[in-house]
Amino acid sequence: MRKGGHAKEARIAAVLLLAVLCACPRAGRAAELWIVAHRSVPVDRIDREELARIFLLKKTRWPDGRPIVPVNREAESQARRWFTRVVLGRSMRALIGYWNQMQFRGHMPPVVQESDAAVLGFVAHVPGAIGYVSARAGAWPPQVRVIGRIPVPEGDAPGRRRRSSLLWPDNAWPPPARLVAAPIRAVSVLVTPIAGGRAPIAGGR
Amino acid sequence: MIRPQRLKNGTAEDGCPTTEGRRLGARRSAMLLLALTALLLAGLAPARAQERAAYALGQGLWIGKLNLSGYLTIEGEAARGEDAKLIVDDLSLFIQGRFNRWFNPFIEAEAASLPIAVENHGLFQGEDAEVVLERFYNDFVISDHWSLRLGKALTPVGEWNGIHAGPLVETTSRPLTTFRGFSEFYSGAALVYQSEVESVPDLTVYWQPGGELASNPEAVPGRLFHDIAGLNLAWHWGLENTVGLSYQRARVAKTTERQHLVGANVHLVRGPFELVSEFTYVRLRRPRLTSLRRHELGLYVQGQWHVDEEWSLVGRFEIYRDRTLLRTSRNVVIGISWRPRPPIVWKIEYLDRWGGVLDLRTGVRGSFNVLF
Repeated sequence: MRKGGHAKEARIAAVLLLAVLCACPRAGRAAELWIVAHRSVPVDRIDREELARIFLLKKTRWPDGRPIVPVNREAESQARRWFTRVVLGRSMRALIGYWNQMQFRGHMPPVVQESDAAVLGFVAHVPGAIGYVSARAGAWPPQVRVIGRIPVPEGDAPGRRRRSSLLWPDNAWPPPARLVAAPIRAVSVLVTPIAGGRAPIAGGR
Repeated sequence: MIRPQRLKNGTAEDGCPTTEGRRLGARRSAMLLLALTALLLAGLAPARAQERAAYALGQGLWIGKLNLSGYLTIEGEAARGEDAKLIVDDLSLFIQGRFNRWFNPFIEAEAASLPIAVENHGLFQGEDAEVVLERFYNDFVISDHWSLRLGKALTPVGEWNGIHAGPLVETTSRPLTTFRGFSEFYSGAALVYQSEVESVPDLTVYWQPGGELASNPEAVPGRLFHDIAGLNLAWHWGLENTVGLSYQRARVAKTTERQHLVGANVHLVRGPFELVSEFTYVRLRRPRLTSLRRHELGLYVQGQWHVDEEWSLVGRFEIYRDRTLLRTSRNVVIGISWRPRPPIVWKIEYLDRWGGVLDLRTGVRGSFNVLF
């Protein structure tokens, strides 16, 4: 009876331990973005500097002269936020403004696709295309190659999805409250030394 | 964008087309646009579903290698001594494509000054609407950094002229310095160098033999420019910081007047603060009778404070010494803009002018602007 009771307690403890392990976030396992390109792209590996030049429209041709077609995810996606932070190192707002200006000047901004599958589909069908997907992306078209992997820093949790209406933004605080808080933020920016270049990048390739 | 007063009763001043001439020009522009569009669309193979990109406001509609986009600006103005008005100032459509090294077209067509409501007039009356073929060119890619642009394009004098669309600039009114003293467009060839590194400037050298193709009906009266040549150097760092230098020489059509312009522009961003300034100095040779001095100069300084991601305050001071006025014109603008989303911006501002009377009037202006 007592022996059986121990066995039962042990089974319960094992089940509880398993449940706890399953419920816990998988700490230490960092997410990754995979840089994917059409198989015809004459590049085997790409570094972040080069990638940033491509997405900032500073580099527009592959070494064989073929046009580069960068593919972005939609602004609300976690992959886009990661890519923007880790590779481009600018605020989303500054980047969108930059691409809008570049488009007005006759440059082609990155194409937008709304899922990993759509990015892979686009890259598979457009020679010269390059994009990024999260590492867990499923089906893998044969026309697509992985030419880079970018670890995403731990703790870089996705932010709240933010959507605004045309008439009133979806903000926690009304504009008057933000107007009061803004001078404090502005002073703090002025007294902070100038931060040069992009945000620090964790884990190089 | 609040722009110069347009010619009304068919009179022309110093070589500018009459209203009728402008209408004919607009008609020709529209026909040319249709022909170019048809040519472009005819050359397109139907895009496979996988090649189509999701539509996102402000990023245009992708069809294969073609992007269709544009912007809309609706303006309200209550200026002292003038009828209050609400107009569609710009409805602009861009068609651009990247096909191969040799075929990279860009077309911009614009419907301007479509009246919605004008004081003392009926609905949809009181302004002369215009259709303009603003830009059409093709880029030939020479190398990763060099390209040759052929067609009609914006001259790179300062920063504002190159990005003058309502959703991309901070105020509804446009500083005189950014358009009045020089040709905003060239119709010809340009050699463009785009630098990859910050220490080396971007370079544009352009040349227009003779007159402008599909001349812009909004050109400042008496200032059609022919035989234009110029260059621009622009150093960029970060995404938004720029220092630029410009030179342009031109001949004023049907006059003896020739002019040489030098200009400088700066755009600095520090946290939520932006400082934007442009300066132009024009030296005239063999000035016509209506030019009261041998030079013209303009300078504006604009400060912006992005209170948060959506709200911004803007203030600007401008001084402009026009060739045709004895008195120097000065104006100051204070305004607020609200961007609920990056492609959408609402603006309201108050402008006060004193000194010489040019295109800008004292009053309140507001606008709704959207990139699509």
